[in-house]
Amino acid sequence: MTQKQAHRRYMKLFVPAMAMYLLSMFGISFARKNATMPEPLLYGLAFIPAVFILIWIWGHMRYITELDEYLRGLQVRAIMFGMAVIMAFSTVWGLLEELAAAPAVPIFFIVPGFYFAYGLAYVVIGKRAGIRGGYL
Amino acid sequence: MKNRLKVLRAERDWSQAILGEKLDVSRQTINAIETGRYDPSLPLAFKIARLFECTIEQIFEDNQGEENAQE
Repeated sequence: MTQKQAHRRYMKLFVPAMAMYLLSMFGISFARKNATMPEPLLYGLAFIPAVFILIWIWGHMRYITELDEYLRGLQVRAIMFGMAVIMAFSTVWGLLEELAAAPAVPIFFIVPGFYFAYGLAYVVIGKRAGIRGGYL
Repeated sequence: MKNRLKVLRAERDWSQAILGEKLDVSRQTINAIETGRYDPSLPLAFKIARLFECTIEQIFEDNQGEENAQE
């Protein structure tokens, strides 16, 4: 599989997964505001958008395995940076919450926080490697 | 690691994209190998050697070996 094919395959999964995530989020938020629902049902509904995020994460991991060895190495370096940022933040903030009563940050923000740090790292790593856009 | 990939490619009048296609890797990967920013894995080095009908040693220069010999 060429790099372009891998990228196209990733986008084919990413776009509908994100569209379904947004739709389900809006749908569930609307339903919650306009109807009283039992707690077990809310738990079940909360899983629906999560499934689309999990599908997207799986698609991203598959995309990385489909890249060639050099591009995969760049991706792994960016992922390591993203993980380091999120682990450092969660350690520091977690201790601040425990010891200094800092306001709690919802764990939901781990994924967007990771992807933000990873994306920034990939821009820098990609630029250094002479990659100008095109690939994630 | 120094290598003769650019010379071998130029001899055949191939672009980096064409060589990438033949080796099933990206143009960026070919560029990184040619400029010495990336050392290919052993399977990719064998693939390159097979494509150009050379041995790996004829394409890639073992700098570490030279350094060890000088010591």
